[in-house]
Amino acid sequence: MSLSLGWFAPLLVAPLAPYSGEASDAAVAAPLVAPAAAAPAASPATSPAGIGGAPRWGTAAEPAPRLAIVVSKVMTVAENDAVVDNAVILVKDGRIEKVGRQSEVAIPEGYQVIDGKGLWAVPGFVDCHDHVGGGLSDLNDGVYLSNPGLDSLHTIDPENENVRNALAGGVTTVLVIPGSGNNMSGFGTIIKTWGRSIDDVVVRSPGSLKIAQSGNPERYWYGIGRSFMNWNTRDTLLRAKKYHSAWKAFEEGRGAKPEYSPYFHGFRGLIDKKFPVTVHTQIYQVVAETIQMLHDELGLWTVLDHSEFDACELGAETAKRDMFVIVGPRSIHYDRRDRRIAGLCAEWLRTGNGKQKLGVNTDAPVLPQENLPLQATYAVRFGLPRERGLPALSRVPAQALGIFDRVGSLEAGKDADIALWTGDPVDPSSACLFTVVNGRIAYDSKTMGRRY
Amino acid sequence: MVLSSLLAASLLAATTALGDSAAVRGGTILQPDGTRIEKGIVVIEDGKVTAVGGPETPIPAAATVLEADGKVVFPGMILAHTQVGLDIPNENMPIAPFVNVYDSIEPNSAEYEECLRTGITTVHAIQGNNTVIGGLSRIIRPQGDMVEYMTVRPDYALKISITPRNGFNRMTQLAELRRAFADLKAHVDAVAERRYEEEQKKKEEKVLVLPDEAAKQGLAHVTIDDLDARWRTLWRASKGEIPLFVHCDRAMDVSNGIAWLREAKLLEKAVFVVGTEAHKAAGALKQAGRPVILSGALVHKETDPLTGKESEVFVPKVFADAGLPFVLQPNGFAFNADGLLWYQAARCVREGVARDVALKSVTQWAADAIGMGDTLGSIAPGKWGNVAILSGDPLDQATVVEKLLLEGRLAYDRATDRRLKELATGQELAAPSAEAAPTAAPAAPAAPAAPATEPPAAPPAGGGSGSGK
Amino acid sequence: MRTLTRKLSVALLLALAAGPVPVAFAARTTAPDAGDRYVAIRCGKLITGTGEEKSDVTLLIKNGKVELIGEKVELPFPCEVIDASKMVVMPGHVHAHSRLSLLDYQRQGMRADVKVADEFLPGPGAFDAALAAGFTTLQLVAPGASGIPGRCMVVRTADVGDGYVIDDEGAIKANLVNVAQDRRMLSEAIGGAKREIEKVEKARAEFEAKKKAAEEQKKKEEEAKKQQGQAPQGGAPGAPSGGPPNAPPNAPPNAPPSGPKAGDPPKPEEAKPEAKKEETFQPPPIAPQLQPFVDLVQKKPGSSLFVKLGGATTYLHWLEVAKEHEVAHVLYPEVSRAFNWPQAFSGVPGTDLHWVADKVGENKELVVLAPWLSYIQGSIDLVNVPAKFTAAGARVALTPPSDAADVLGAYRFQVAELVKNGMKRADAIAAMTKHAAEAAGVGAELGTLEPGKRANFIVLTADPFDAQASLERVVVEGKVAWTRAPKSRS
Repeated sequence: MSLSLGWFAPLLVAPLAPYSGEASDAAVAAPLVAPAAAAPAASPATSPAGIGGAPRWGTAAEPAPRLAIVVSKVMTVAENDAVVDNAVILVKDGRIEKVGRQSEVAIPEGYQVIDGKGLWAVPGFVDCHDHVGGGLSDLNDGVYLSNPGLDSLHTIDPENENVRNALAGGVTTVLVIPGSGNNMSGFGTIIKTWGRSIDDVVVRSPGSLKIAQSGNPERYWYGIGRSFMNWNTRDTLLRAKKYHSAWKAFEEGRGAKPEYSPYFHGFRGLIDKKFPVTVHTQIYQVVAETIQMLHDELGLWTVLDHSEFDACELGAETAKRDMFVIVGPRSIHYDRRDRRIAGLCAEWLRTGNGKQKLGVNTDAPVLPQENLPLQATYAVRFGLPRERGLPALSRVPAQALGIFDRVGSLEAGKDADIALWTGDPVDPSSACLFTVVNGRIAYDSKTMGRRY
Repeated sequence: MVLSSLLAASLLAATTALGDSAAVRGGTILQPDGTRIEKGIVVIEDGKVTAVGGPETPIPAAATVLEADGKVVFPGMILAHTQVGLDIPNENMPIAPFVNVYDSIEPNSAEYEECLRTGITTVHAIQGNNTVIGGLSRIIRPQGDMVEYMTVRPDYALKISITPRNGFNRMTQLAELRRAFADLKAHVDAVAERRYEEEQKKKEEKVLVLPDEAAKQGLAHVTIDDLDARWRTLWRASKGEIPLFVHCDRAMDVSNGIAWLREAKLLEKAVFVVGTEAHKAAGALKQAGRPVILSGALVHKETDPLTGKESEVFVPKVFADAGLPFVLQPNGFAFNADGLLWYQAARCVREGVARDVALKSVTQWAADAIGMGDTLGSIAPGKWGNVAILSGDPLDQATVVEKLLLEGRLAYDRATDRRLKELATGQELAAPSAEAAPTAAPAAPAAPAAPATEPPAAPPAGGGSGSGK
Repeated sequence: MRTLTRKLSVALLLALAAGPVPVAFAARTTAPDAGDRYVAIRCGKLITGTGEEKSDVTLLIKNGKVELIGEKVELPFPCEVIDASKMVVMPGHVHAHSRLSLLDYQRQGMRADVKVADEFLPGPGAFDAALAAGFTTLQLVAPGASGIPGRCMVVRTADVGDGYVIDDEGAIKANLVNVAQDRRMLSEAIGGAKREIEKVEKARAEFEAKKKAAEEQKKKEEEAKKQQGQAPQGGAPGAPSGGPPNAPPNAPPNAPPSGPKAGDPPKPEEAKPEAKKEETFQPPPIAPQLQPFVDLVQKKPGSSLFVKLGGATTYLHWLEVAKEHEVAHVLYPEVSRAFNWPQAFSGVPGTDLHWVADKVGENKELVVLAPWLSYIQGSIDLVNVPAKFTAAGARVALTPPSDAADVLGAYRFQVAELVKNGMKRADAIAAMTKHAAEAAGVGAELGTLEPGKRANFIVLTADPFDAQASLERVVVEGKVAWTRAPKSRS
């Protein structure tokens, strides 16, 4: 966990002062979006009404503006962890067109310039474990231990206040999953945190299958043992697999058309590895079971969520299988064997999960959705090397969910999900001031008021 | 290696390979039958004992030698029926032949540490005394990061309880048991009938028979995959493919159990798990000729309803006097006196049971009860190298396990047992250095050293990685 | 302490179990008094509890008390002989914290006036489990988890002729677990006792002053009489000599004595004798709850406080209490037990007592502990608290944590585990014998096998710390109270 000064240095000098350099009162009053005329090397473009003007939430119906975001530093959080100083990000049609140094990238005509001098641009963060994208009353049906056929898509509420708070914390993509009161509570949905309709926000549906193996389902009925819970989950998935192979055989002309099942049809994508199973799993026995049952036996694309308590001793096993481990909401574990407080991320790393596969989650509303970056702060506070903090918030969860081709880093061609921060988001004194989702300004602390 | 010992805060990962071969030299080799070899040598190669003898026994040049001068070398003890290390075992779903203790084993349980610390090298994990049909068990080593590394025999036995579960009576219990088998038969018949029809469809000349006949003829075509997952284990059990651990708390349950087993033609597959009162059925059990595992409570107390006179019976003595082999298990686990397996055996000697009988009841007979009598239970060529190096006689109060070999690998060493450091030194130990730890290489999982009689569960599949797209 | 002496009944000789056989043995040197009852035990090994372990000695008991111990003892006649020459004899176990046979009435508040002896009604076989585990003496502790629930008592586990009670006014049980509440109550109890004593002292001082004044007055009167010379005899009405001696000098003549108040109905019968007694001091009544504490503060022999403590912190609070008021006490701290290995979700009861081992040792405390290993708080590392305390210099009494038959039966094993894990054997023996008896407040009478002490002992087939040792016989005050019966059915 060496902390290279090279990494740290920009943080030390990163100004916490207003980015515009003006007096703070003026800074609050002045919209972040600079008058187009003032933009360097750019001619004024039509300034869409509302943006940078009235404090209101944009709508997807409005055409995506072309933006030139000028910042002091871009943390691309790409695979090569590239950092671009004095950079400009060009955004067009909701996607990132280009990321480069201001000296090298000319801002074309018609681009609205966002003056983020002094700020850092980082990718919008990705939360793999969220319950607030929909109505909280829709969390869980809780009828059976496993409930195939339920889908959180139908609970998505883009106008949700929690989602707006997420924007204020620089969180732009969340996996909305049903609750963990039973073993299998339905499919999750990956959404953006900005948009007006369900169609606007959905990135992928189903985003994942939610399975909960520990913590809450034990309370089902009058208490149910591990062996039955796991048998039941396995049995459901085996039925789904059987269903899928029957359909596959039919589609490949090898068999009769099977009867459609509303319960199992959704599983076809899971078994084809089009989306993962995200598992609420914690404590050693249960995570070991997750690995051996869902990953080894059933061959599913398995992502560990929660990953808490002594489960962090299984790092060698997850590394062997190249699995993603997403940690949270607990950040620490009191290790009775060694009598110390162990940072969970650091422990996973120590025991072998060292292949850049560690992410963090909030389990919002357990932790407020906008506090996702603080999860990385905590992980670093308790021993995760600092350079892994930002990836744990963006790249790793995006990769874990298989959406890294769209989100999780600032690279040309990706969704323009960009957050401007006063400094390193892993530093708790940094704040998010400006958030772009799908190339649209979704949060501007100047015009909308600073939420957080 | 300092780093690895720091990392091995968990004893589960602490197995140290001694190389392909190991030898224990200079100790008194004590066998369960009471025979001793002074200054003996045990040679273990590839996890199996290859030689046992006096000081003249040749030691292979490559072998790692463990000196045991003044120590006692004793076979690893066996928990033949236990819930040690299970996380929320199923004790409430009554008809659960399909569940598997595999899904409940907690490899990180400190109870497995305690097994090693007290000289136990083999654990038969089984649940379901409080059910009717309690699911499949597994024989494991008490060490390993994942269940598959721990596994000695997967899906070994099925638990059946003749004693009524809490809140039910014996009539219900037996009725539910019979009904489960009847339901199984109905299911298999239905599948067989369907299979018969399927087979008929393939033929040019179709023969129509009555359903009963179709089921009978179709049975030959039924494979286990045709059955509903819930019935597969019970089907195998009904055909006598799986040992049955039959829980009979009282003597009357023994009678009921034997009757039912005869009826189901499964007596030959039975192992009886009995309570203290069942000593009254020692004769019937002897006649049945199947292994008997005693409950942890060894004393049966009874009050004469007429005279109010209390009487106590030391149960193992009854079985010993009847010439019936029995297996001991601890009462609870660890910390209590009778939570320790060796102590249970020592109690037997105290109460007049012959010493060799007491020793066998925690080793050889326990191995027999779990069908591994040829593999475990004593130190003999061909058997597995599960050997404890003790500071003294196994039944002596002051004796401690100094080292434990699990299939020829050093699985426990008292000298490095962190849990006992404060007791040994009077100094609380500081936690391992947090700085040193992350740089250490991950401990390799304790892969089985010896060729298991049955291979462990399939190795992790390479596919299904979550690398995204 | 009121000790009930025990008289031996010769008839009870018949009650002896089949084991000891009366024999005429050797020459007798002294003619025993008629009615003296002698029992001799030939011990293969004798653990006296005083720190000595002797081989091949004879323990001679006279009338239920140890007479002498020697290698070659000339036995008196008649004398019963118990042959334990292949066995081990040690003092009977003392359970310093038992509730056997008590009603589980959990009293709260300040109830030092309650004596468990007043509720002592043992049913038949009440102490059988204790007896069968080798316990000969129990301190029955007043139930109640907070405050001061009452006074303990000490009993023998077998009625060998004079009932069970050894001491019916034992230590005062006090809790110091819930510090906020218990400490205040304890301080107030001791403080209250001190105030009561002050009250009495003040009353005494007043009494003395009055008496003195009255005497002076009398003297003056006499002098005046002398001066008056021929004064009329009998005294005229209004003469001061008619007043009571302790009446104030200027009290009106024939005023009532200070006892009954002026408004009280007249008691002519009592008035006279009272008036006569007025020479002696009548202390004002002391609140019954406080009387035991008054005894305690005044260091009356045998009075003691049995203090139940929580963890280390409560001991520090006790030290604060003890700093203010120095009283005889025995400490009984809660040692949480390592009873199973924790799973990830479950909490671990840990102890922190070892942190105060040095202080406990420094103060030479007498501490009653349960014989088990504990987890160090917040970990699953084991710690041997009794060993730490003894090593630090405290006097530790080991006592079973409950009265369940299996817990009592496992007592020697649990102590043996402590010895296996670092406690010195001698310390462990002392903790089972001498110190356990001291903790029950009966150390002067029993606990060890020394001349003059009650002959409570057990006979074991092997060393007490041998797992294969079985209990053969329990002797309470010279009489066999329990003999091992064959366990198997015939």
